[in-house]
Amino acid sequence: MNNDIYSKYLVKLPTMWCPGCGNGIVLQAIIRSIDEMDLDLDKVVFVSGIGCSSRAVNYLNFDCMHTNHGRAIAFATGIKMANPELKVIVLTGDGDCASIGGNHLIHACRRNIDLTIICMNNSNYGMTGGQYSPTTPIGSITKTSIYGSYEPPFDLCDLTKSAGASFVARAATYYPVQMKNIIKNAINHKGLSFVDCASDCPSLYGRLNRLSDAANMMSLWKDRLVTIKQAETMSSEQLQGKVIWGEFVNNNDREEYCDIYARNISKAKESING
Amino acid sequence: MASFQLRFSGTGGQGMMLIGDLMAHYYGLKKDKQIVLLKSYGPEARGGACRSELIVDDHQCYPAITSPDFLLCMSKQSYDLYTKDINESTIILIDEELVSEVDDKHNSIYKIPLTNIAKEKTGKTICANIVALGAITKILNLDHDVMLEVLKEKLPSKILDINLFAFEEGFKYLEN
Amino acid sequence: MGSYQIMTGNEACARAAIAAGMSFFAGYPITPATEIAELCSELLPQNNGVYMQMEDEIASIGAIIGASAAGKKVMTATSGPGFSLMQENLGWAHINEIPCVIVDVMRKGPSGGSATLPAQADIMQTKWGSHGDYRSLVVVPNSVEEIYTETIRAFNLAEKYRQPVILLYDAVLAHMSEKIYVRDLDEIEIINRSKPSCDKKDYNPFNYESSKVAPLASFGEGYKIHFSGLTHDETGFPVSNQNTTGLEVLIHHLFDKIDDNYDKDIKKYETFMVDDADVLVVSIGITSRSAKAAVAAARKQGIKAGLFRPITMWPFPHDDFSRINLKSKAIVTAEMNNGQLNQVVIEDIDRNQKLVMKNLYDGNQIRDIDILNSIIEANKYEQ
Repeated sequence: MNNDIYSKYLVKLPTMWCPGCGNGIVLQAIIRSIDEMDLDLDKVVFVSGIGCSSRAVNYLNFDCMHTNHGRAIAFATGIKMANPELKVIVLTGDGDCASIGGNHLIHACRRNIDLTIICMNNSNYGMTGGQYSPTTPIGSITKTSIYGSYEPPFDLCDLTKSAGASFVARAATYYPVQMKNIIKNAINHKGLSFVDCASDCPSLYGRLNRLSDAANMMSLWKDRLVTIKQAETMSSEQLQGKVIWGEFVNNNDREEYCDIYARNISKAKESING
Repeated sequence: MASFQLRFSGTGGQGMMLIGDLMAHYYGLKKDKQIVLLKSYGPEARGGACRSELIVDDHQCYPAITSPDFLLCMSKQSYDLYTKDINESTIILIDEELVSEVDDKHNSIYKIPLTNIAKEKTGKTICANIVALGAITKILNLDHDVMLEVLKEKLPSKILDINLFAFEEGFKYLEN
Repeated sequence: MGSYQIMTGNEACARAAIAAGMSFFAGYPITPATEIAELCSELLPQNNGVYMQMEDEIASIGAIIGASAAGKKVMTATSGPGFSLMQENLGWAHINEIPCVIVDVMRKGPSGGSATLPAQADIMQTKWGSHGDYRSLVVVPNSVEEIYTETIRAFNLAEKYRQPVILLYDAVLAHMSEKIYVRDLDEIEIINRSKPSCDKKDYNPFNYESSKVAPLASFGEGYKIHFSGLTHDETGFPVSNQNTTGLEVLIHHLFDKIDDNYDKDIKKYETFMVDDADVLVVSIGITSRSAKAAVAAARKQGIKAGLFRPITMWPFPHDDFSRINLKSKAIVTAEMNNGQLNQVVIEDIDRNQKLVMKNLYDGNQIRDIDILNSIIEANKYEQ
């Protein structure tokens, strides 16, 4: 990465992430996407919860809010509604947004409020040492599923799509340039945009599941990842174990929540004037 | 404590909350008294008996009725429920057609066909509470003209006339 | 010129908040606080303000903290069950010194308890509810008029000292109507948070010099503000576990900014006939009204009784109470719970003084006659 981008967008390096962690790739994709956009950087706010992913805000040279576990979307909703001019980006993880913060996630999608939620999904709780999360594949070994994970996982794209998000996509650390482009589309989208970033935790999930090292884990994605287009031609048997990536929803017809609320204000004013 | 305690009771929809509001307005804003107005809320206000209670004092009020000085009952159920804490000098006003049986021990009880008066004179039974307000104004010797002002200030203009009429019918009834 | 108006406690709270400049309310319906949210949903949009009905109380306090950081004056309102849910984010607002007002309308607990019945059992929760060390600021009015004035004071304290302020009252005060004097807006003192005047590059969101409160920039103004729930330094970035001084100084600051300014405008209490009181009654909120009547009745019987009523509940005015308490032989605590205020005043009671507790937790208010009986009992005590 070029040093100008480092000094322009990042502070307090090095990060606390382990070698091979996918979070750095996602963070890089975020700042590269911002660098390619014509945003007023003073109007961009990053909000995060708790977890390895949420630590990302501690390296960003923006207005930042590092909140409580699962609560980033609630805080972000307040920020956005207080000042709709702000571009509010939530950095979160699979445990943070799909487990403890799941309720805030679905309600933000229901409202279609203009937030960009970027989930660094590494299929386990890294900060606490590698326990299973709501996205851990069945059969995986984690610190709390040493006989193999037995809980059915969420597909976060299906979840957010059903809940009403008007932009839903999956990107993968294996395709960093495409990830940057997807994040750019997400940030540009007006309405709730959700990006599930398929990522790795080599130190914990990888080690416990004997997936060798970060490079090996990364190479495994090559066979697992299929595009939406490729998936359309595949049978359900062929799709077993595959991860579909791309933009699932990009809908500009749904009205955004700040705009809906502006109409509420108009109605309230009419009620006192008429 | 020298407070004056009033309870207005009936069934949901009979306007017992509105009587409380009007009487609070009368004492608090027109007669320079301290008041506390209590209404039944939440689950207890759904259907069945309901009430509003007004405590009037020269000083800050104790916010509960210890024993009412005045009690309005516009349903049998409310009479059964809300007469338990009355005392020998409690003034009671009942809708005599809706509260058919009453204890014969009451020293001071007024029986008026409030709902019937409302129906016959205004055509709307819903005005029974304002008929009651007229009667209360007479019974408690309140300022008739000031109560009219209260009605004019508190009621929406489209229902004002019919209620002013109902008020006068209630006020007159005891003169006959 | 202001005017006299009749309104409920919850209505007074909502109207006072708007008079104080609140422009953002987020909440979740709960008896007996719901009417505050209802009125805010009606009035705020008329003034370009935001009412948000969130998915739960956790989100409600989260949203108001976010909105406060974006420059708004904010409030949420709830009752015990919702207040319990708010505790974690309340701690976040303390460590990040975010101005906000939280209304806790007390109902009988624990748990769901009795939703429509009043209680005063959240006194300790408002002091210690969130984990870790922090200094709570809690005001506890006893009339509809005082709900109005204390709501405004709560906003002023929140903005001035940059922290959450809790407004604590019970279900009776919430729902009863009283006549109150509402001042015109230009007659009301309104304090707004101080804004930075330094160069944007030099701005730090925190100042840990003893009792100082750092100016608060808003998101979107170009200051690149950093907030974190982790222990942080004045820049807002986390402090390493090896930096013990850094870990300690933040805690010092949270206490010092309140304690060092306590006598200026935080401390507030009412006394009634305490000068020669042999028996001192301590009571708050709705119960203090019965207590005052009981004290007056006791005086008529020749008992030298007095009343001490905190209006700022936390921090409790220990110094003033100790001074006033010096001459009394007995203390009566009257409260709608199984004993919380008594644990506060016991710190200031001499071993020669008797403590009589009048507690009630059956959903009824404590009557003046019951407090009078406690006063009579306390007065029998010979030192």
